[in-house]
Amino acid sequence: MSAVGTTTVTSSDPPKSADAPAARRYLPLAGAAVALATAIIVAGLTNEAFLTTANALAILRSAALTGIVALGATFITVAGRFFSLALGQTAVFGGVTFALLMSHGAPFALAVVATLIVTLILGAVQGALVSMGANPIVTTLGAGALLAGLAGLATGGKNVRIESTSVEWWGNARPLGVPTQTWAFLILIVVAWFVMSKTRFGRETVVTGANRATALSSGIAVWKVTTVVFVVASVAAGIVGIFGAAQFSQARISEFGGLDFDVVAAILIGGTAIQGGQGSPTRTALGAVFIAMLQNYMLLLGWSFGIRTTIMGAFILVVVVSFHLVRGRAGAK
Amino acid sequence: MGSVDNGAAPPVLEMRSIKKSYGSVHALRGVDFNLRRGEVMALLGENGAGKSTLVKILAGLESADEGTILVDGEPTQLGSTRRSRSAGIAVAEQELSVIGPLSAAENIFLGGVPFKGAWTSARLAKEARKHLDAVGLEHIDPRTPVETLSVAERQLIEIGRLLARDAKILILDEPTAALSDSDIERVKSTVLRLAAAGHSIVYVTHRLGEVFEIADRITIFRSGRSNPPCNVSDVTLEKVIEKMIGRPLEDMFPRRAQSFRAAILDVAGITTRELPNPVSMQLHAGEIIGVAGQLGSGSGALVRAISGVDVVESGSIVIDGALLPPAHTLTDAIKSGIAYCSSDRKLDGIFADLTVSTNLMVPAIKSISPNGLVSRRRVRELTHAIAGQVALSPTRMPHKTGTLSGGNQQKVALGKWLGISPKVLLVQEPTRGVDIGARAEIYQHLRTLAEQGLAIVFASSDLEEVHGLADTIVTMFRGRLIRTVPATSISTHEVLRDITHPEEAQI
Repeated sequence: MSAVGTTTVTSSDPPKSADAPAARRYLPLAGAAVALATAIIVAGLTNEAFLTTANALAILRSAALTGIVALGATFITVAGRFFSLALGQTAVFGGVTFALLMSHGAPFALAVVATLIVTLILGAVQGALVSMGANPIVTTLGAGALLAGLAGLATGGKNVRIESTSVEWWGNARPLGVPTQTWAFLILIVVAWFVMSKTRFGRETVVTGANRATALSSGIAVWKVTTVVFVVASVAAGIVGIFGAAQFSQARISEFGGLDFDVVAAILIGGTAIQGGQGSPTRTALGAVFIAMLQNYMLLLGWSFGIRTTIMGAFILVVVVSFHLVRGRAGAK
Repeated sequence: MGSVDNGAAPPVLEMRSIKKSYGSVHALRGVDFNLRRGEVMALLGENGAGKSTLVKILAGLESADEGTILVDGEPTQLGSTRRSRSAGIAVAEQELSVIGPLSAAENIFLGGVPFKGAWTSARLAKEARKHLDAVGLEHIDPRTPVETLSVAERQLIEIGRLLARDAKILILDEPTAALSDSDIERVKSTVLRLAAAGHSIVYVTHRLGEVFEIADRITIFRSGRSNPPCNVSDVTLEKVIEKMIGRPLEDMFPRRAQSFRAAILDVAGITTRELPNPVSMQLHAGEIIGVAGQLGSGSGALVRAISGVDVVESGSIVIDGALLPPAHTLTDAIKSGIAYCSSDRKLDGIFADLTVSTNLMVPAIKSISPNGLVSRRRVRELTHAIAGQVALSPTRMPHKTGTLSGGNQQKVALGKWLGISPKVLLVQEPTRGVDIGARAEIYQHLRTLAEQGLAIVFASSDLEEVHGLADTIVTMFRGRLIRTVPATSISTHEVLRDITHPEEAQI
């Protein structure tokens, strides 16, 4: 049996080597990296267009927008509140807000800050509702429909043009050859990782998701954590909305149709536990890249939309179920 | 006691040199076990001694790695729940598994109905009647939803379900863990009745008192090995405890306080929904108050009221000279130095899936994260200091708390509060689900904390615990405080009378 102090009564806990939990902590990340590398090699060997710098940048760029939202949404999942189904609409609403402000002559910086504040408020309201006991899925589903409607009303259903060179730059520039969206994605990966693993808020998010009742009885301000995680996700969607509008110099209300699905897929493929209390924005980012890569590869092979969607769905099903099985096998609950 | 059939017939169940390992953990290292017809066999041992593993093997949830199992003298392969059932074995799980919204009858026949054809509630009720009667629930209408019944009644329905499966070997895994003293009586008399009716019963429990009242024989497990069974009449309580913990039992309870320090908590006439009559009490630094009372007596409600979990409707609470705001919240209480451990540690006491170190740091999270950044150094210092105070090995820090034994989990649930240096510690059921050896250790830690100046209030349905650990005893009955007395001037018997029939007591 394991070593115990002299005052301790003989303990019957299963002995474990000290490094086992650390290994288990890094195993999912390592597993995701290996899977990603394998996929890159296979795809590269079977399609010559795949392993090119241009294509890699294209993948990262298309992963960036989903990825940024998914980084924020990971906090919701880790905090034990499942998902937000309003993020696509929040991005649309953010994009429309930004474009309308720009088209009414607001300076670029003001338009960005105002848009982010608007999305912050949207997230705070949803988070507050959830922390008062509303179901997150139902709340965000309703909020999403409302936002879509409001965006439609505000624009009269038409696209909103933006005439601005700085907006065009932010949407299409490639500093050091890398698109701005990708830069933002990379920077936000680091920020999200830092917040999740090094800050008080990150720890509070994890413990709230692990056991809300214990968090509450331990003095954690669960309502605050809940509100903030929705704010984080919502602002992330706002950032993406601005990038989306900047890229085409117009805000379109038809944008970001499948965003919520892709975000959830990225989080799940990243191995974040759906019941909360465990998860990593870094792995979510890898999940987003993985999805973008798979989509890109299927596009390069010229597969039709139906086939691509079917494979994507099957893939997510397999990954999520096998995660669940592996975790069950390891004995973790 | 049930009748003892003295071994002429082959035992109903015999298990020989059963071994079972989980990876490198040897849960059972070759245990022998036998059960005679119509007897109550108590299966005792500390948490992790292998009792649950044996129960799982009998239930067919796990297969033994080695060893033979004979049912009625015939070698039998268990290994699946179906085979275990057809061998006549049925297990009532430790956690209640009745389904609240379903009726008593539906719960009895969860595993399948005993008739063919239509499932009418009248038919179901008629079939359930005899099983309800057999477990002493004559007064229950089979159509009553189970959620309206008491915990004890639900436990009995759980046992009734085993009878509905026509089991001859009943395995009851801590059937009384969640019950108060008077409810335990009902379960115990039911067990004796079933044994008299020819059922063979394996009774797993932590409550040793029960064993001497109802069991015929005892098998004690320790560290995955079994002691030969002995007749209850041949052993004493002390002997049993010594065999369970593998060392002589010194005093179970630490010495009481010689003197108290300044008054720290003044509860004046508080009421809550569950405490309609005003309750007052004073608590001093260094003092341990034990609140005795059955489920629903208000003993738990009193502790929850002070903690801020239940809303205080009137009255006032002053801690260390400062008045708590009316209808104070849990957060208010924590801020003024009142820490609270509920009776259900898995529900809201620990984070089972997180590491011990994370668990220990949560209440003090602000102090280890100045500027909002978590300082690893501070986390290590804090958690190691706490671990030292409650004798948790620092090597456990990276382990998931849910994998620890009940005793160590309780140390985590109590110890996490030390990080905020509370003035008052409120504990409900301090040793629920904690085995007897670790219990003595928890008592010692609570006493040491009191000696360092902490004031402790605990509510418990275990009279021995209240009487042995507390300096001052508060007895409660039906939402009313009966009296507050020094523990040295009241006997356990008087405490029992207070909490069951106080009107007969001489106050």
